[in-house]
Amino acid sequence: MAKKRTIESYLPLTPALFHVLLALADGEKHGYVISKEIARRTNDEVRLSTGTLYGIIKRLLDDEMIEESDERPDFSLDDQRRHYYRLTKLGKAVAEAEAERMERVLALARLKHVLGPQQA
Amino acid sequence: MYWVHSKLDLNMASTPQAGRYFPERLFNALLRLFPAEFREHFAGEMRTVFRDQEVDARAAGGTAYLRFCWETSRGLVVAAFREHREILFQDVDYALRLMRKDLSFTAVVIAILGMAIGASTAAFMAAHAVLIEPLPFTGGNHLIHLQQRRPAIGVDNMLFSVKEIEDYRSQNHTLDSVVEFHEMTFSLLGGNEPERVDTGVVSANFFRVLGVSPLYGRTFMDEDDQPSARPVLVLSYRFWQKAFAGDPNVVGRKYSMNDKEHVVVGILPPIPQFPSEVDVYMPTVACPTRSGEHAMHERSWHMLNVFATLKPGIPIAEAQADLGRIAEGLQKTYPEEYPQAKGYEINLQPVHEELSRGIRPVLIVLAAATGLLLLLACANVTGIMVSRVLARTRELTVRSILGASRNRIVRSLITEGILLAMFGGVVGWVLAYSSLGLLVSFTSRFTSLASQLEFTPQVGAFCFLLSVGCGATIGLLPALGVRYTPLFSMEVGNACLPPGRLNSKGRGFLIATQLALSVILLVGAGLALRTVMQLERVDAGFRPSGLLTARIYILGGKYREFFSQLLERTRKLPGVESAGLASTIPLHAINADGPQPIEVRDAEVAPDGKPNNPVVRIVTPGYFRTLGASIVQGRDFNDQDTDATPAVIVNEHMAAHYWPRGDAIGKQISVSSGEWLPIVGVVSDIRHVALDKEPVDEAYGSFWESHQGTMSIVVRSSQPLPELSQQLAWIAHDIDPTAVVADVQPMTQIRTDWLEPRRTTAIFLSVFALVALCITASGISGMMAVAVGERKHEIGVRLALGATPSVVIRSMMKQLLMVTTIGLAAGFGAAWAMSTFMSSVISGITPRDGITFAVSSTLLLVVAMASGFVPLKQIARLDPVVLLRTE
Repeated sequence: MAKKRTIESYLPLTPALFHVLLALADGEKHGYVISKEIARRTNDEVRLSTGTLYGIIKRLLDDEMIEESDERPDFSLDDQRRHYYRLTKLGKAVAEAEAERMERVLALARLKHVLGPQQA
Repeated sequence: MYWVHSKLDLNMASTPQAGRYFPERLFNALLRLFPAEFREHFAGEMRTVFRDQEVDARAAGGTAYLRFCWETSRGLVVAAFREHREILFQDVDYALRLMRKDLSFTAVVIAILGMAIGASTAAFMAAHAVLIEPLPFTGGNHLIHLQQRRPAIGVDNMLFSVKEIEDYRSQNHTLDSVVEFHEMTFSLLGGNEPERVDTGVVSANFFRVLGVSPLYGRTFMDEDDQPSARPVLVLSYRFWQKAFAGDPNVVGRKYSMNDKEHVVVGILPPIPQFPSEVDVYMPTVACPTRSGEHAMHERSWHMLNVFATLKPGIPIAEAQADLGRIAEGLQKTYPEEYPQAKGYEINLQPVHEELSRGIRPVLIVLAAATGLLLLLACANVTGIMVSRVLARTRELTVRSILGASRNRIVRSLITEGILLAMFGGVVGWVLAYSSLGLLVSFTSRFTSLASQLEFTPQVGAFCFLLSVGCGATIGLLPALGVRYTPLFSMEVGNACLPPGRLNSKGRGFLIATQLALSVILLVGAGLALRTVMQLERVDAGFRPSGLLTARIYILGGKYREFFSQLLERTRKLPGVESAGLASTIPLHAINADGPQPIEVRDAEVAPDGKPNNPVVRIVTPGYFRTLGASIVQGRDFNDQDTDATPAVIVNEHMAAHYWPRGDAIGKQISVSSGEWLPIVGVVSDIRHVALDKEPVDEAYGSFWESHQGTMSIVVRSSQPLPELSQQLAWIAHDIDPTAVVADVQPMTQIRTDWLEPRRTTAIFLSVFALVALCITASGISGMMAVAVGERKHEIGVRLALGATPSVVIRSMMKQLLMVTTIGLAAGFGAAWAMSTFMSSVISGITPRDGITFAVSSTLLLVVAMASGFVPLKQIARLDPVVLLRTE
């Protein structure tokens, strides 16, 4: 039996993986929407190709940070070929831990005047 | 890529026909790079996302579309690689855990594979260095040896005269450089004591043509080969180490040679010497013989080896035709020197081929033997892996039920096999590396290329690839043998994968394969061993025990006086029974005598048209008696056989050839001088060149008729040979302080040295055969143990119904006997078919030697049945009640 991993053991996340978790933070989505949202929110700075995206999705599924959703949209809007994914509790906790870790790093950068003071 | 975009119909992108367009075809092709399980879960979904992204990319324009295509392709390749890597890590981790769990299995498999991979790697190392690796000279593989032939009288390699070299050098259009080499032995004075040195006399550009740079100092320059030049020497690396302990300050020192002062100008690096190993080199002008009046102007003064390099782009056939034209011209211009009756041709021989010719058949046989051993090891380990897979059926079934595909399980078994073989490869690498010294020593008995043997990156790559190949084989075969039936109907508790092709027939096939391969190896080893045994028993025409031999060199022309005194004083030494001199002694590496055309008067047999040139040797009275040869007719030479009243002795072979009625005595032959010499005796045949070469016609002249400065002495004595050798050297130096006594060794040593390469080859093959026998025996034993385990229920029922253990054992032994018979028959047939392959390394027996085949098959049959019987003994201890209750 594999030992249960702590939240910290998943950190730090790769930027791409963190973006996928963030994309799912506000609800379940299918692969295309995930990639679109990441591109839109990062002004096309982070573009996930299909291979990279599904490599990440497989890893997140294996680590049980996301799961496939059974809920489907209305039949008229649904495409049976698509799979919808949502965050699990673990995934949410890992995303939060990563965000906090980054926040601490940012705070340190401000303290050291690497970054300017936070805008109100 | 823009054409892709321009040809696309945007409306077709999301339609089912879209797969016909290049981007989606490419996408689908790249998807195949992913593991099957990944594709099963995500391929459909990924295709949908790709189509959506493609529509967006097209809408964004050409550059964005091209970037999309590139990023998608790269992303797929990288992600597929990562997936495979992750699976590999998982499989390796799993395999390592299994290996740790069963250490005895792991150790046995690694040891078997290690031995086989090690032997194959060592064989490859030798074959690569000698047969494949180019010569360590610039353009070494383009270096050719020029040989003059006289086909009508059977002369294949007539050396060149200075005049002939000048003709070929000036008239050819295809050769880049033509250089000469001949070997002399001179006395080197100026060190602690006079030293006899083998001297290579070479053209000034010899080393430049070979591309050899000196280790210290310089090699020869054109100025060194001018008549007025100061005599110079270049030392070989081996001689420099031996005589000067590797002291670089020897460069610039002066030594006396041929009554002239010579300066050492350079030292060669440790490279194979060609055409033969010598101690020092000098330019042609410094050699008194080569620069003498006779040598410079006499066309028939044949003494020089000639080598050449081809002009760039010229094939050897073109050069052959070019030089052939010159040869024809010489024949027309000098009909007396090149008579039509003897024929005259020129032949071009690549040097690399010439250097490796002696060892090529031996290496091929050894490589084939190691290849067979490797196959056998793979068959054996496959059998062990099969047993292991059978023992793990429950675990594999559970993995299958939990979703592992057949490919995934096969892949994990292959990874396990490769991992085991990689550990075996490490053991093999260590074994091969440790055998390097032994291999160099073995190879050096055949070729000077032995010094090229080293553990190169190519050898490492070979060892690695061999390990991977063996691992894939031993992992794949058991995995493919497992039959995968629908598992949904099974209950996990009782489920097990049926053995499929891993059944008793499949395992029987593996046993039969091992037996067949063992037969071939045993027959090969048997033939080599029988060859050595035959050669050790061969009557070579002399008695080697109690014989001391030495090579004696003197200068100054007083040969007759020197050797006369030497013999007289040696014969008076305590314990010495007899002593004699000969130009060449049997089986010695230096064979100074060659075939010479003769004329025979009063021959009883009409000439059959075939050239028959007897080898002419020079001996003193008493030589034959000392050697242990017998005078079968007539008499031995005596002191009256001088140049005033010359005589000749022929061997039995020659006497029977020309005078089969046995009346050779009194007949006359003429050797090169044209003088008719009476035959005064017939001596028994002596195998001079090789124990496995039948005697040829030989004629002996008396030393007192034809004295020379280099002779070999043979002394038969009852006193210890080391003491005798010291006394012999003391006498020689006492008579002439400049005399050199070299190669002092017992005749038994010469015979042993001659036999050594054949004995070592036989030992190598025997070790391989013994290892094969042990592996096969363990394989049979293991397989029978598995069979007993598998059939416990059946055995229990039979025992419960009244069958005795001996009946059960007998029935299983019958099955083993059938498999063994099939294996032996297959191996016997293969060995029979391949036996001619061995003909290059055997002698004295036929390649299909009945005794060897019979002994090998019987031995293997006994070993197979005995090793199969051992695990069956446990049947007698089985309790049927316990067996049936367990089931």
